[in-house]
Amino acid sequence: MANSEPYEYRFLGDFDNSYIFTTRYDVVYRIRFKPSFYVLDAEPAIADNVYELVIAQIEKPEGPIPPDERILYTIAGIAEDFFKKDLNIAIYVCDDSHGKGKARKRKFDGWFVYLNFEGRGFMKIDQGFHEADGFSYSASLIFKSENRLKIQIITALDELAAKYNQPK
Amino acid sequence: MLIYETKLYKKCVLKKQCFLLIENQEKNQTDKTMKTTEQKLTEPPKSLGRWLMESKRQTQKEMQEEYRNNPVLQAIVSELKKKNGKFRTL
Repeated sequence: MANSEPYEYRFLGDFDNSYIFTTRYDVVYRIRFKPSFYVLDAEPAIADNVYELVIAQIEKPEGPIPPDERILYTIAGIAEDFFKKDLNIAIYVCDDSHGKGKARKRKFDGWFVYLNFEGRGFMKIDQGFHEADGFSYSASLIFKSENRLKIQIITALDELAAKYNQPK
Repeated sequence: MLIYETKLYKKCVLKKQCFLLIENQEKNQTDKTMKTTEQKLTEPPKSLGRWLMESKRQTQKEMQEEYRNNPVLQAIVSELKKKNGKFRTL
């Protein structure tokens, strides 16, 4: 089977908004789109459709696990399923205060380009945050480029950054 | 920032109340072992970033714990392992 072939996954229900899959190395992943209406202070048509993307490795065998590109394609397939609801917005948050978080963010950005998500009709807006207490993190919003509220979504993220970012 | 956080908190609590009502109704109809962490998000955030990161870590942890304690999820995983893990035996 090709390395670009996604693994079979299961959707665990509308309420929980989570998906589960296993890999050829018996690693178990769970992906959840967690309702996050409190993040953007925007009109309900936007705020109520914001979901935080949470990826968790919930089981893995002992010892090193070889790289597995099929995970990437599986997560992409799951994302496409999630975005069947046109107004859905996914937010991915990464802690920038340590190398591991930065690496995770680079990996996430790389996926977006590698899987040609832009060509598939998605937009990603990135925003760095540097809060007054010195904590820094980045947030990426992903939504359908045909989302009729995209201008308002971008504005809402800008406003959030303006409120939380420490002036330089 | 305090005004914004208070506003955000009030909005969050109001929406959360509706959300919990729907959640309870749905819980009774579907899998009773499914749990959510949303109740904890009614606390006002001191720092949005720290709050989001903590929420993410907590969700990851809860997803792991839920899997360990939920036989339905374990059965789904066993079935998926048979389908996705077949290369192991080649």
